[in-house]
Amino acid sequence: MTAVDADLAPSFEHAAFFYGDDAHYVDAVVAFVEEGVERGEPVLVAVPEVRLRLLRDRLSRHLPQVRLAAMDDMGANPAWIIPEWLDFVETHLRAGRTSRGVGEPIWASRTPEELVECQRHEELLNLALQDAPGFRLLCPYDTRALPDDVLTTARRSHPHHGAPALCTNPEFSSTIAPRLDTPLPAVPPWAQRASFAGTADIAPVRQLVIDAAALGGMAQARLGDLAVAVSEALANSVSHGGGRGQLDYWRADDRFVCEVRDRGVIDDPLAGRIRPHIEQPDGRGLWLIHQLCDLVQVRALPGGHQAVRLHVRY
Amino acid sequence: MLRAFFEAGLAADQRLANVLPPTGGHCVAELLDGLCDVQTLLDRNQLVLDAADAYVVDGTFDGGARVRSYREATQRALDDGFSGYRVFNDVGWLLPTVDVRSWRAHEVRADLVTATEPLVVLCGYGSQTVDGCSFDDTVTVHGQTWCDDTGHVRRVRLGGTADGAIAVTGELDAAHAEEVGEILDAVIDEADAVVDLAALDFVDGAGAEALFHVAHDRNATLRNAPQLLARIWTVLGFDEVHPLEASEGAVR
Repeated sequence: MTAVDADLAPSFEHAAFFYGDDAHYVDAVVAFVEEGVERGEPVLVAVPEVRLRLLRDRLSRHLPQVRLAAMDDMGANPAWIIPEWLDFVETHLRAGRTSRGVGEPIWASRTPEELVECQRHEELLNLALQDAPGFRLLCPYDTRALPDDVLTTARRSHPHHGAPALCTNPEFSSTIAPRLDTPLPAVPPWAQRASFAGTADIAPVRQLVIDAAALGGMAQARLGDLAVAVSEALANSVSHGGGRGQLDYWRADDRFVCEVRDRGVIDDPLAGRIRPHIEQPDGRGLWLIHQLCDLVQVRALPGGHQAVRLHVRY
Repeated sequence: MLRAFFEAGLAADQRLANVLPPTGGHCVAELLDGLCDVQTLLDRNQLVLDAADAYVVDGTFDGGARVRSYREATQRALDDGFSGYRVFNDVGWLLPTVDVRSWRAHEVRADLVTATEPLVVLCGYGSQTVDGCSFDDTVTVHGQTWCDDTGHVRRVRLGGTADGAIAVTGELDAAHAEEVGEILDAVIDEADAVVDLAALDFVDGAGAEALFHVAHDRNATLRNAPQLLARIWTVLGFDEVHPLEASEGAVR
């Protein structure tokens, strides 16, 4: 990062902003964005489509310096969000410009499982963007719709708070809770199970999953995503998880779910969230899994085991 | 099985040949005895009893010479009025003496000749004699298999296409990506090599990476790339340094 201005800029500021009505939301977000516009900063606003509708009238005159994105798409899988912020921040840092963003990854209709991954995402942002000088990120939380425990967690995971001016947050807890021990919902009794050992088992086990998902009517393109994601998870177990493992797979409503368990440990909390460099020898597996799936849950299990549960919508 | 192989050649009016290991083996003359008049075949030069040392020049296996000799023998067969050249090579005995990597590359090159010329080669790998190169490895580098039901399932294969491209067919995943990448690297010796992926049924990140190196580092053209490869190509950022061209990314 060679930007001259950026060298002088303060470190990354990650702020929670709690709002209780739409007018407050619009006024504070617009003021935060326009402060950036006046400083010549590019701004990316990624909030749910319903919130975007409130902001469009006030912000569209700042296009293209201000970019608007629907978080429902950009962050449908919460693991997709950090790479987007990194791309945005680094592109502008290379041009010597600091930048700012508004990111609202949590809304009331997130499923409980998505919510946990969103909270993990908020904590990982502090790590992923710690080397992004001058980047200010405002994360709005709707106090009308979100439960108290979600708001409490947000107070602890953001080093800053307030809007439009950001202040140091005394409630911030600097330890990153990796949430690798949050229990996963039980594997349902109708799940099917397969064991695997060695690379020779990858293809036949993958085929079991594909056959089951196809039987449930999954479209061809999604079957391809599922096949690659499962294959990568199995290959990870074979290469880094003790050479063998167990796979459970089942249908849950509109999703097909696979859980791979092995003796591996993913020690980099950002694994799969940093775009792999073209020449790097490995580390593409989890990236592919995250990118191809709608939700991925990585958990440390008792006894030195690990689970990677992936969800692909039909 | 061998008898059926040669019978098919007789029916197609091809010249027949076989290459025996130094230790002896199935001789085509014996196989055909009783089926037809072997002496007549020998007299009219339709049956050629080759020698194993055709494979070894000055004590060293020379794949290039072998492929050239396939081409020349096929041309001679055509010049002599036959419809093509059909040869059985008992090759398993050779494997302990050759470098496995160059052997696999040789087999793919041979397959390229069979795909473009009226040449049929059956390579006999006695499973007892193979060393340093598994039976599955040998299946990978042959466009087709003609064997007893051995229970071996090979999910990826390399072979030639009628227009001289190298076809990668089946499922290219982490189990074989490195191996296939090495073989392709050894086989590709021309700047305008084409790798045909029309029958690539599955590819994962490791497979895509192997193909990326073939395309980017060896300048091979990837043809008929399946949609799944295009998707992985984009997710892994390969398209930023080496786009799959529109003609290469045919949708299927």
